[in-house]
Amino acid sequence: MHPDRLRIVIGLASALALAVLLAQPKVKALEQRFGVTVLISAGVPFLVMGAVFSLDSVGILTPQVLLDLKPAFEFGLGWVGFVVGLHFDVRKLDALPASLGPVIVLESVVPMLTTAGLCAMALLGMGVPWERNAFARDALVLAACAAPSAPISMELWERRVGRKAARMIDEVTSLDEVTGLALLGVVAILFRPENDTTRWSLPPSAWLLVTLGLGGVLGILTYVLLRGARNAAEELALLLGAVALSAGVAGYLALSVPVVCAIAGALLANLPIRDLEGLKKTLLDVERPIYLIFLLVVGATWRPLEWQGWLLATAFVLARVAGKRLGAIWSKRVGPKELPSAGMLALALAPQSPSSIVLMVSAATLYHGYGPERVRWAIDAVIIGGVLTEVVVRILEWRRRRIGVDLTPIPPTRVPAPEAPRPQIDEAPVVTTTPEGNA
Amino acid sequence: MIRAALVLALVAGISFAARSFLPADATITGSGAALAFGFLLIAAMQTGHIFHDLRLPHLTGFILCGALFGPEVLRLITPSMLGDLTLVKKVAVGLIALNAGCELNFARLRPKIRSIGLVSIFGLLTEFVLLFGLFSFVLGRIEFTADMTSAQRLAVALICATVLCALSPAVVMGILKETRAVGPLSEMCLSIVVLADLAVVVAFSFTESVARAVFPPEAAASGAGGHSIFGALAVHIFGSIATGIAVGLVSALYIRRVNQRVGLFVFAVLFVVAEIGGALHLDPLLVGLSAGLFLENISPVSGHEVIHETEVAAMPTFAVFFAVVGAEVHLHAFFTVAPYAAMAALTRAAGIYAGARFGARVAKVDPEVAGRIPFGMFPQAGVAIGLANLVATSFKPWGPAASTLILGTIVINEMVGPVLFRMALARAGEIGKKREASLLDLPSHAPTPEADVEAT
Repeated sequence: MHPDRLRIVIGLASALALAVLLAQPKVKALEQRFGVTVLISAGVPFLVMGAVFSLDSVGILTPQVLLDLKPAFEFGLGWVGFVVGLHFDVRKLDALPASLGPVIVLESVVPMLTTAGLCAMALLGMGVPWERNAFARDALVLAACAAPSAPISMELWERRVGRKAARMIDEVTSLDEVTGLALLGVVAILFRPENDTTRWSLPPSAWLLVTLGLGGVLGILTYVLLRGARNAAEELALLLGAVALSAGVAGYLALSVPVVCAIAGALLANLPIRDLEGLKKTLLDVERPIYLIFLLVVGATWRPLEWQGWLLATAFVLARVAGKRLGAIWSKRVGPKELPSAGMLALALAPQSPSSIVLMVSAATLYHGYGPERVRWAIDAVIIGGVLTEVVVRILEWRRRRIGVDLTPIPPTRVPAPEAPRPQIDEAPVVTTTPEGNA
Repeated sequence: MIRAALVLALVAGISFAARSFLPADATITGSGAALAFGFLLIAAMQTGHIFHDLRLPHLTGFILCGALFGPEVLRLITPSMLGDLTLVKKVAVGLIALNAGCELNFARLRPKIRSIGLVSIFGLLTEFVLLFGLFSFVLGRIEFTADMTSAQRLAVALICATVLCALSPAVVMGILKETRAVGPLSEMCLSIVVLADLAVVVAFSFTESVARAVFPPEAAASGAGGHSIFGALAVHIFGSIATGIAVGLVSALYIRRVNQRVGLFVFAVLFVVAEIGGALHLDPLLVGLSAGLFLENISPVSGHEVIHETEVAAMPTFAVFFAVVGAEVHLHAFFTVAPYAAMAALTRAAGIYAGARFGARVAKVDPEVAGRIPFGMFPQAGVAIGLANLVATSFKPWGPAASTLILGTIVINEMVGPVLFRMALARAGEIGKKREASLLDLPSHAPTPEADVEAT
């Protein structure tokens, strides 16, 4: 066998083996136990592997292999978008305390503002031109990536802040992704990729309507398809088709794929599906391998030796962590009284969600032809930023533990007993029907 | 049926609207392969439903859907989209072949091996002889052979006849899956098409070398020119079989040791095989088939376990694969050679019917089954198209014209074959006999009509 081909075989096989290994429930259990995100546990090996495989001397992730993976890439963006959208169940939101809404907004918007400001300054300082507001677009994309917080380990945080507060933080982390997606959608509308060959010439307001309308139509189409499914296998096939079509149409129109798919997913979540949780589980089962493929390919574009990436990453982490802290302080003032202290809240929300990589990949797909070096720096910033944030959070936790602030586990007797008749936050009043047909 | 037609219209409307954004050859963020994949999957399944209600095979619906929306008719799917779906197609071929291999248990088939062998040999030989005779007669009247010597015309006839001998394990497997058929006819047909197709692939390598010897070197533009035919054969066939056994071994180890998300694992392995197979000139059909045969017959893991685990992926795979096959149908080519293609299709059918019936009589196969076996051998798809494309690229200047003639014949067999095979299965009473615990029995997430009423 030719050595080049042998390398591709060994490389792809080892990536596959690692993906299988890191998708094991034991790895997930370890993540839960130590409170780290997939970015640290499984992501770093894949990033490094992607970076090594793309080296000319290694030649495994060749341009041809990356090209072959492109349709899978778009599909993966759509899949994750659907998952995010499915969290946006209005009935569930209605069940949340009213004062949690401002917390979600503050915890996501304040870090976006700080990140946009500091990263814009960093980009200008690095020589990114003023023309056509390219620096503003890149800064806004980074700001969108700053919003989502990683899901917390319930096991760990229930012990730290109590069950109710932990559930609230959990809700915040599952909904702040929507803010990031919304900003990404706005960026995709305002900064359209320039192309003279397109047949449509629409103003941004029309593109906004196209984005919303397309998401809505695709959501309804998905619902109609799922309703018509005759069995579970057919349902899965149609779900695959709906996600691919949504991702494909959005990508073809140069709209943000996860944004359109999230709108479709959100609509689906609010229509009567018999087993919405089962549907979510189906989608979540494949989410992890998708992240790993993203990280492998993102790793292929990662240039760890570029100083600009490190500088932007530093600005990103500082702005984001400061923004989360500031947001936590304000949230404590306006939010429910059960929320933990501002310091603890900031600590819980600081780790970066893996979905920020999805946002970054989506933007990189849209703008890959416009300043490839800037796209690379932004990717570097989000990847390095994710890892650095985890390190910063661990250091802060260690310091807090040393001085005995807040991190003392709450004794079991102080954990409030669940109130059976009242709906819990994670048990939204489901209007849909049960398998037996009871409302 | 009305619901399926409405959904099809809606999906087609959305996709056409999106496609109007860019001219066919322009791209912004990619060729739109995801759009093509999603559209073909949903549209093919809806067409399948419509065909089901018309008592026709889903599979014919998938193929027609692809042909209708493909580059030659409505042009929703562009050639570059199809190019980007090649990998999906290769993975699909691997999965279909893996399923076919897992269905074939040698211990169970041992008493029937003689019958399978005799039917295959007589069926293929008669088919080949009649087709060779037809092409030897017809080629003298076709323009592209006007300047050829008699020996060269015979070589072209040899190539055309060999390619058209190809059967279709993918179509037979697809029909058996969708109809959940099981019984002596299903088993015999699947075994015959798998074994006979292997024989055709090997035979093609030899006839290709004969053609290369007859045509001057400059006319036989080739990738393999100058290389030993046996070397290429060894890599293509034995390399594929060895890789398939390795895939089977890895899959068996995974199922025994890890046994989690087996379907996803198998799918990922097939993806890697498809990716490296392109570089190593491996045949995904042979790789999948060998892996399946290894799992079912040698490894301690049951092939049916693998079939069950990959069942989730099977439905979308079949739909997209056959829709892509349909989109690749050369309808314009068919119309230019329609009379010759129709003659070739009829001759092929007659050859298969006579040969297989004779083989079955010699092997003393149950007459009820013997009369219906030829219908399982009529369909043609992936392998035949692949070989026709190989002819087009390997033998210039006459290869493309010969390929057009072959593809025209394949179009007929592709459309009519599945319908006839389904009818044969229905007559044999084997449809719906498979009753294993299956995802096809599980309810979907959609609310039941009763639940809807109560909810309102």
